[in-house]
Amino acid sequence: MRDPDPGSPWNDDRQATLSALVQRADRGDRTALPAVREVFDAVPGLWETYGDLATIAQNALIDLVAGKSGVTREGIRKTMAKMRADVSGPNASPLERLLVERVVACWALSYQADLAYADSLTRASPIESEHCQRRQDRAARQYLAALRSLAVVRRLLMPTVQVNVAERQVNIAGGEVHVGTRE
Amino acid sequence: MAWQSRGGGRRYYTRSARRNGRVKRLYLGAGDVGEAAAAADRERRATRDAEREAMRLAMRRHAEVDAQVDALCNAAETAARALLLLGGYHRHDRGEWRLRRA
Repeated sequence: MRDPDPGSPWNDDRQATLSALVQRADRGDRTALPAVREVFDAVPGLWETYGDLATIAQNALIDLVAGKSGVTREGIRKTMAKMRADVSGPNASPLERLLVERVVACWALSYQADLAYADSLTRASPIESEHCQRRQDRAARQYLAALRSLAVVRRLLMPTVQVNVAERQVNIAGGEVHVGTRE
Repeated sequence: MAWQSRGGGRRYYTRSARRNGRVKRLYLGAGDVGEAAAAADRERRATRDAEREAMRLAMRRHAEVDAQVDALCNAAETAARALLLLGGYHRHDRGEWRLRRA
């Protein structure tokens, strides 16, 4: 992970503008689409800036889980790196890489929320335990949403090529090869 | 929890407790016995306060980290939706993504 760039042209205002445009387009306003495209074209290094958000969130999560333990910190870093490599696959697009980083961060959050809830059962008041349980539920939902989003993008936006070889149909999607029998 | 003076000026360490729905004052002892009970209560209170403070700090830290993950999730979701829309897809009934018919 690289260090965040403090001089990035991307900021909260631009993110809010893009969110508003995407919401308009999502509701069926096709006039918003050119503006969405403009935002993506106008900001060089946009994907790197999104990567910075991932780095900041993941580092904060590592700090939260590991505390002062260097061994735990290294263990979590390695687990996250392995997960990133497993989920990412070869030739991932910038969007796919961002969605993978989100999956990794949400997994770490869900893991930390599980630990915090278990800890709260022995040490905290019922109100605090309830807070930790709500947070655990929310983290699990966020993790599932992150996986769903990645799956949708892979299914719809990754190029798929179908080739028939002898009696077998070969689909190549997003750098992965699936072989099946032709009907 | 407090010290109370009784006949002859002797000081007793007391603690309030609920018994059968009513609050009763328990006399735990005078002199060394009272001092020991007071010290035990002080320690228990200090431990409880420290745990509450630790939990309060943990909850604040949780909120900060949750906000950072939320920012990442919002950015990633917005980018994914934007590229799906630019790719010619739309959400059917705010659910499944389908290719828009030309």
